[in-house]
Amino acid sequence: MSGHGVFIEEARELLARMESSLQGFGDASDPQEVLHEVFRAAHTLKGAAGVFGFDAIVQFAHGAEALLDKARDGVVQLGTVEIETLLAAHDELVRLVEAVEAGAEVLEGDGALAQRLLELSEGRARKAKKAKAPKKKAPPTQRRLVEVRFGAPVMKEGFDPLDFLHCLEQCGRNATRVCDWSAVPPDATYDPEQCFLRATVELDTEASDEVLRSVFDFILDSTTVTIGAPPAKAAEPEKPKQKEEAPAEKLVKVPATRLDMLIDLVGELVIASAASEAATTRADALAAREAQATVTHLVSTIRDTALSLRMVPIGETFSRFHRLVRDVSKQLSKDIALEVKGAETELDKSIVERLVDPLTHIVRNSLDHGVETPDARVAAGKPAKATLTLSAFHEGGSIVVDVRDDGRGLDRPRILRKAIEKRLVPSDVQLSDEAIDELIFVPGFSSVDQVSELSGRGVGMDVVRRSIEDLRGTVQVLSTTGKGLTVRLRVPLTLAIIDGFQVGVGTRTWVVPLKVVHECVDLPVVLESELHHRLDLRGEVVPFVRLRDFFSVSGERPSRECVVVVEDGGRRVGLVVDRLLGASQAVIKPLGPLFQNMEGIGGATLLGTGEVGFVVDVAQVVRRATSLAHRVSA
Amino acid sequence: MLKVDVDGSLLRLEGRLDVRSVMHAHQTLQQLGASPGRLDARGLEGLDTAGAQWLFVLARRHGGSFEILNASKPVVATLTAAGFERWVVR
Amino acid sequence: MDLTAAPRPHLWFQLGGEAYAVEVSAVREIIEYHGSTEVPLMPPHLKGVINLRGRVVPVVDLSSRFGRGATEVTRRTSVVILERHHATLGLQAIGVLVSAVTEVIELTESQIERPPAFGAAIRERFIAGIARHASRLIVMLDLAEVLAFDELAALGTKAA
Repeated sequence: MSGHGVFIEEARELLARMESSLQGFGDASDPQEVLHEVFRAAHTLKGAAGVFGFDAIVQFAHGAEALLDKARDGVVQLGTVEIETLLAAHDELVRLVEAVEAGAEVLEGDGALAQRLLELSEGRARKAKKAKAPKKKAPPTQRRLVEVRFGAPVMKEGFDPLDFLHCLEQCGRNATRVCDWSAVPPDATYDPEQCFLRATVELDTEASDEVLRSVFDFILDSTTVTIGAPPAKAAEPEKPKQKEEAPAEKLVKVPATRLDMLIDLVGELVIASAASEAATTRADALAAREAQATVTHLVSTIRDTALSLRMVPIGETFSRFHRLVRDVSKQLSKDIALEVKGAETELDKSIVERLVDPLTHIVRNSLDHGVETPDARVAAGKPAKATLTLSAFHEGGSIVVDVRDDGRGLDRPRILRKAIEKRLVPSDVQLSDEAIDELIFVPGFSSVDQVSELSGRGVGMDVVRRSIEDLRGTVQVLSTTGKGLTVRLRVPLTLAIIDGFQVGVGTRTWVVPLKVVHECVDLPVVLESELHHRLDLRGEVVPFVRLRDFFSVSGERPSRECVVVVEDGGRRVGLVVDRLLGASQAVIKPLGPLFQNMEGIGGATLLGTGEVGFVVDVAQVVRRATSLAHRVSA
Repeated sequence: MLKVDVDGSLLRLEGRLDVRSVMHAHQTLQQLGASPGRLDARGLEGLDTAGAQWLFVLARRHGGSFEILNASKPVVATLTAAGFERWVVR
Repeated sequence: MDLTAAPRPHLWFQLGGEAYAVEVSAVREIIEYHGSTEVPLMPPHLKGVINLRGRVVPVVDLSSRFGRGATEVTRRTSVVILERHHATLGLQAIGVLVSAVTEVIELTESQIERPPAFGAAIRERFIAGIARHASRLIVMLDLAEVLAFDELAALGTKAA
C-alpha cells in the first residue's frame, strides 16, 4: 500500500532530523532553535502516525513532544538524562517504523520507556519515582470500529462532521481516527458546500452500539454509520491464497525540475522520432541521417536525465554516523570528533543503500582499532581528541568515499605475524608494505587478538571488499604508521550503465566491464601452461580461465583463441574467449530473483541486435580461477 | 466575511473559512484562475470541515503537497482532526 | 450475493497434450516463442531469458518444472507472461513456456472441483482445482506454488 510507503518515507526523514538535532543539542549556538526543530519533528511524526492509526508510534512521539514542550517553556531542563531518554525514544520510534514497514499488524512499544518519558516531562526525572501501581481494574470494554460516511448535505444543514467524531470519541478511550477524503470529486464537479468526508474511528468503549450510533442521530437520514469489531479481531473469511499483500512501495524524492526536464526531452524525442520516420518513408537519406542523429543525441540525454532521478546526496547516509561515533566513543572512553565533507555529492540511491553496511563496518574498525585512547594520543604528541573524517567526491564516473582517521595506522608487523600464524602466507614471505596492508582483506584474517564487542562481529574486511565489489567498486587502504588510516571506497555512480568490452564465446556475446580490462592478447599455444592454467605474459605468470569451460558452453573451441587480461584487486587473470568484439556501452538489466544463485554472471544487457547478452562478474570468475590455479599447483 | 487574496502561489485568507464562506473562496479562486500551493493563515480565524475539505481540494491540485504557514492553534487543531496535519509547517 | 459464484476468466492452454488454465488476472500478455537466451549453468526448468521490449524476462519451462522433460518447441509454442509479486523486488514478470494457447474461458465456482488426492499428472500442490469445461478436464494451476521464487531459484544452484 503506497499510503504506508509515504508514511514510512516521511517518518524516516523526521526521525533522521530528530536524531541529528538531538546530537547537536549540546554544541548548538541556539539551543532553543534546535529544540523547536526536534519538537516539530516529533509533532509532525505524531500527527502522521495518528492519521495512519499507529498508536504505539503516537504514544512515543507524544511522550517526546510533551517533554520537549516543557523544555521549550523552560519548565524542564534538558540534561544528559533527558537527551539520552529522548534518543532512546527515537530508537524505539525507528524500531516501530521498521515494524510498520515489515508489515507488523500489532505494534508494541516499550512501556517502561514511555513511562520514563512521561515522568521526565513532569519533572520527576531524577527522583526515579517508582511507577504507580496499576489503576483499579477497568469495567469490561471492547474495541469497536465505527465507519461513518457523512451525507452530502450535512454541512449545509449546519452540522460540522468533525464535531460528531469528537463526540463519538468521548464515548471511549484510546480512540484513533482516520479521515478519508478520497471521495471528494474532481475539481470540475466539486461543490464546496457538500460533504464528502468519510471517517473510521476505533475506540475502546463500554457503550453499546446503539449508544455509539445515537451520536449521529441528527444526521442519520443522510449519513451511513457502520459499527463492528476491528478487522484484526474479526474472523477473516477464508480467502484464496493468491491474495498476497503487496509490501509498501519504495518511494524516491525527485526534484521537480529534473522530472520536467525529462518530460520535455521525451516530448522532443517523440517529435524527432516522427521526423526520422517521415524522412525514412520519403527515402530522403540525408534528412533521415540528420533526424537519426537528433534521436540518438536525445536518447542519450534522456538516459542521463532519467538516471539523475535516482541520484541522492550521500550526506544523509553520512549523518547517521554522528550517532555511531558518539556512542562508540563513550563506550571506549575515547574522544572522537566526526567531520563530514562532500555531503552534497550525489550517487544512485540503490548504491547509497548498499554502502551503509560496509561503511558502518569500516567506521567501527577505525574507532575501535585505529584511534588510540586520549592518554596514548597525548603521549604520541597528538591532540587528545581524535578526528574521523567521512568525505565524498566525484572522480570520473565514480564516487570516492574516504573514511579517514588520525589514529595509529595499520600495525604491519603484527598483521604479517598474524597472517603467518594463520597460514595465509608462507612464513618466509617477503612482502611490500602495500602487500601487507592487502592481507587484511584476505578471508579468515582478523587483526584483533580478542574479538571485541565492536568490530568482532564475524564480519571482516573481506566481507566489506566483497560487498563493494558487488557494486563493481574497489576498496583500498592507505596507511601511515602513527599518523592514521584511510579506507577508500570507489564505486560507480550508477549500477545501470557500464562501459563494456564485448567478447564472443560460442554463439553468444559476453560483456566484460571495460574498467577491469588490462589488455588483450592472443592465447599462445603452449600446452604445458595449459595444464597449469597459467600463461606467460612477458615474463609474468598469469593464471587464466577459459570462459567456454567456466560457463559450460557447448561446441568446439576455435583454433585461435584470445585472452582478455583483467585486473581485479591487484591480481591479473586471463579470460580466454573465442573472439574480441570491441568496446561499447552496456545498459545493465537485473536478471531477477530466479537467477540469484548464478555464478560468474553480474547481470544481463541488451545487445544492438536485440539479443540478450551477459555481463561477466569478473571478481567471481577471478576468485574461482585463482583458487583453481592454487589447487592445481599445490 | 472571509477575505481571499492570492499573491502568486501564496493564498492569504482573513476571517473564518467555513461552510458559509467556502463558496466565496472557491469562486474567487476560479475567477482569478489561481491554483495556490501555499496558505498564509495568519489572518485565518477558524476552520470547519467544509474549509478543511476545500483546502484538501487545493492540495490535491499540487499532488497533495500544501504548506500552511502561520496557522493558529485552533486552525492546526481542526486540520489535525481532519487528518491534514502534515501540511502544517508552522 | 455470492461473489464466488461470478464467472471468472481463465486462460486455457495446452502443455504436452494436457489442458491447463490460469486466471487471466495474472496474465500480462502472450507472445510467440522465438527462442530464448540460455543462462549458463542453470537447470532445465529455467529455459533462459528473453528481451521483452527492453526488459529481460526469465522463461520457465513448465513441463520441466513438473518433472516431465523439456517442452517440445513447435510453431504454436508460446510464452505466457505472468506477473508475480516478489517480497522485496516488487512485481516481477515471468514467462512460462506452453505448447499452445487455446482460448480464454469463463469458469464458475460450480465447475471447479478440488484436486484429486492422487492420480493427477502433476504434483498435487501445483493444482488449485480441476475444472470441467467443454467436456474436458482442465487443471487449474496454483501459481504461488508453481512459480515460487525461492524454489525455482534454489533448484537453480549448479548441480555440482
